[in-house]
Amino acid sequence: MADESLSVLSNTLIAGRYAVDTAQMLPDAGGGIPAYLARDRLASDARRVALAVSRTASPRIRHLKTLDEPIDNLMGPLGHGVAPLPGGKGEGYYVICSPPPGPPVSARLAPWPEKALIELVLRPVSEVLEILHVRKLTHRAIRPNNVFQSAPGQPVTLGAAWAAPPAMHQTSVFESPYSAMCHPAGRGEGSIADDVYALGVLLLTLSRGKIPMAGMDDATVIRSKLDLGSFAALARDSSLSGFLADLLRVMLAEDPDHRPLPNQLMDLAHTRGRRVAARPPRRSQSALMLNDIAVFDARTLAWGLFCDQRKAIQFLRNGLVTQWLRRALGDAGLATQIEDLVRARATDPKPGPWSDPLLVMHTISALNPRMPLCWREMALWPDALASFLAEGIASKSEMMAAAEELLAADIFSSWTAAVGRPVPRDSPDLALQRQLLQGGGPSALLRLFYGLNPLLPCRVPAMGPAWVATVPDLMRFFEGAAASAGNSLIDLHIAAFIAARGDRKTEMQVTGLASLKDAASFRLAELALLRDMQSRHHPSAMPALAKWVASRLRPDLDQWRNKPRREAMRAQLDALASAGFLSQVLELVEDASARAADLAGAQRAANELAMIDAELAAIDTTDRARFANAERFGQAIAGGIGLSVFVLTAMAVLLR
Amino acid sequence: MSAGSKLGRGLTGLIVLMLALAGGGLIALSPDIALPLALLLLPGLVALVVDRTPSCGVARAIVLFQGAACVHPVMDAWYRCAGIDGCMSYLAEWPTVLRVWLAAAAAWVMSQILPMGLKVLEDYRLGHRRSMLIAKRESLSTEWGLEDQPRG
Repeated sequence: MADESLSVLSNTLIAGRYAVDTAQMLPDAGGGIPAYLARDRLASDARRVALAVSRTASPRIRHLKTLDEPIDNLMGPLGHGVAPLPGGKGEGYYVICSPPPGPPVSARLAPWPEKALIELVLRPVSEVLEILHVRKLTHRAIRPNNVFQSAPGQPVTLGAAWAAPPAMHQTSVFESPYSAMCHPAGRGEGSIADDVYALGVLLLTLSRGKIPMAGMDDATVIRSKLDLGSFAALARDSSLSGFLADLLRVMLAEDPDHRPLPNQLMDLAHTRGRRVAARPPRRSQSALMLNDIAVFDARTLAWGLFCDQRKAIQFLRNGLVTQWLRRALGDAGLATQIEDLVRARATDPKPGPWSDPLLVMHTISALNPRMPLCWREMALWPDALASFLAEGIASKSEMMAAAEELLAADIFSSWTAAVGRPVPRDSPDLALQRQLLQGGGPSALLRLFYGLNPLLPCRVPAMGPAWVATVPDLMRFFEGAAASAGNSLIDLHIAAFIAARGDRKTEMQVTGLASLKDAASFRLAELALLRDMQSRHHPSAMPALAKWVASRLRPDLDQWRNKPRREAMRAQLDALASAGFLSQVLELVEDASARAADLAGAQRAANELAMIDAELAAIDTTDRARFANAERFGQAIAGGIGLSVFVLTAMAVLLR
Repeated sequence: MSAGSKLGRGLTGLIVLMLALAGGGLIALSPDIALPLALLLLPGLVALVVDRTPSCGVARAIVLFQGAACVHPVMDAWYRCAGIDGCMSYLAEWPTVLRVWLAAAAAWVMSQILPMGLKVLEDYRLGHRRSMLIAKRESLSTEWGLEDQPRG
């Protein structure tokens, strides 16, 4: 009994030491993400925080792997894994973090003195960001409800940012307009400059004691930032000291390259002397009205074109955009560039369904090279493809179609080349993903989704609330589902999951399986795949699955001709199924030499049967001939007897 | 086979012809000898004429049995009679004729019964063989799942 309880406990422990207590929710510890109390069993039940991972939004794997040592003033990840959901209704994935030192600063927002801002916020957070920057990581979750302070006068601690895609829970105020305009799942890793921007907004928030631009909707916030510049838009109604204003101006610079690095923020003298030398954007005296957006400069024009693609196409085709650029804005070079794009679209010999979105995308990039990739009124950064795809698969919205188009038409490469951005070394291999999409058959997008989001669970409805994220998990699911399974366990969706999460050999097997049209061949390939998956990923016994496999193989036994052998094999099959190893079950049925011997025996038996039938037929049909023979033999015998008697009598008489 | 049969039929015909010629010659030259002999050998001669079996098997048996039955009367007639008329009359006596005719009858009966006996024995052997074959067929059909195959 004690062993059982220990076993159950060890199964529910994350990383073998963290127990999640889902009965105790920590409402303020997750920065907007559901958080629960966790206990470290190896540290005298020390308190930890378990952040719940959404089934549709992948945690940040690189951070979970890289941040393996505690960092001061950061709720660093300690472990991650599957644990029961609240109420025991299924499984969830949790990221275990060190606990926050106190409530979030959003709990009691009040103006902070400048010295406290510098010493308790700017310096400790910059130190954390510098460590992340050195490790080529970003935080992307700096906001008041995710920054914690144990007590007044103590340095703040940055909350966790590992349980959701980067910047997914950031409000538009704390993101630069080019990140804020993206779908929450499409903001991407970004750079440390984005964290510096968010830190700048945090400093501004704390200096004022309230969140700037509060109450405005996202579109208004973004448009204000584009119109006025982020600093001007955010600090519009604030009375900042000269020092703080200078600091925030550089931290909130439009160009990420103009923002100071975290190590520069620790040297305030250097930062204060830094001046943003960006040229102010060219503005027009007369506005171009794009729906309700009054466009005065190229940045706002790009935003306006992004917001309404239909209108954008109309304005580009009828020349209103280029006319306004040339005459009102006085930028003939930009107008010529746009005209070239429109002309290329108009003279395209093979216009496709992607021609118009491509024109809008290239036009927006030409008007404002800082804009993210804009596609069918959705914006994203290419490195956010994984989370964008996950969101699209979950919501089944036009996001999924957009992601498929972006990959199939190689839009990312086209956009990167047009904007002239260098492709980051750690960015996803888009060419490989495109190849996967084109060669992966009907479930290619699912395969890509599972490949790019390795911690997210399989989305097959039958799996319910179970968190099936690996092939061993899947094998456990199969073991549970085998009793009520139909003719097949591996459908297209599960095949895509296996191909993405399995090893190379398994992936090749799944690809071969998907190409099979014949039901019998598919069945055999499916069973072979299950056998290999068990031997490679789940070497323990799986009796329920083995019984299902045995039931699927029973028709094969009917093909064995020798009945006693068949009956013996049935009994053996049942015994092996109970043992739970698919390889033994399949080996029994797939014994080629025994099968050949059976066929040869059947052939011999058939031949022998034919000979018997022929002999029986001969017996039945040769009665008259046999009577004739008997008559002939009988008469011959009678003649012989007569001859013998005659000879004997004659000899007896003659020799007397 | 056919050549042999033709040869057999020809030989039989030749024998019948030779016998007829001999009989005819004997009747022409010495009717007092021919009549008792004809009376004595009448069943065999009739059988030779009416027998339609291959190689005249029945007639052959009758003739041979008659021959065997004639050995003693002929020897008795040879040694005990005086003159040819005495011998012929001895041969034509009813006990001698009856014995020879009974031998012919026995030959005929034997040539009728023996084939039937042989047939019965052959049928018994084949019946046994047939039951063995059917049992083996059932065993094979059951063992190799050939039950649905029609027999023959």
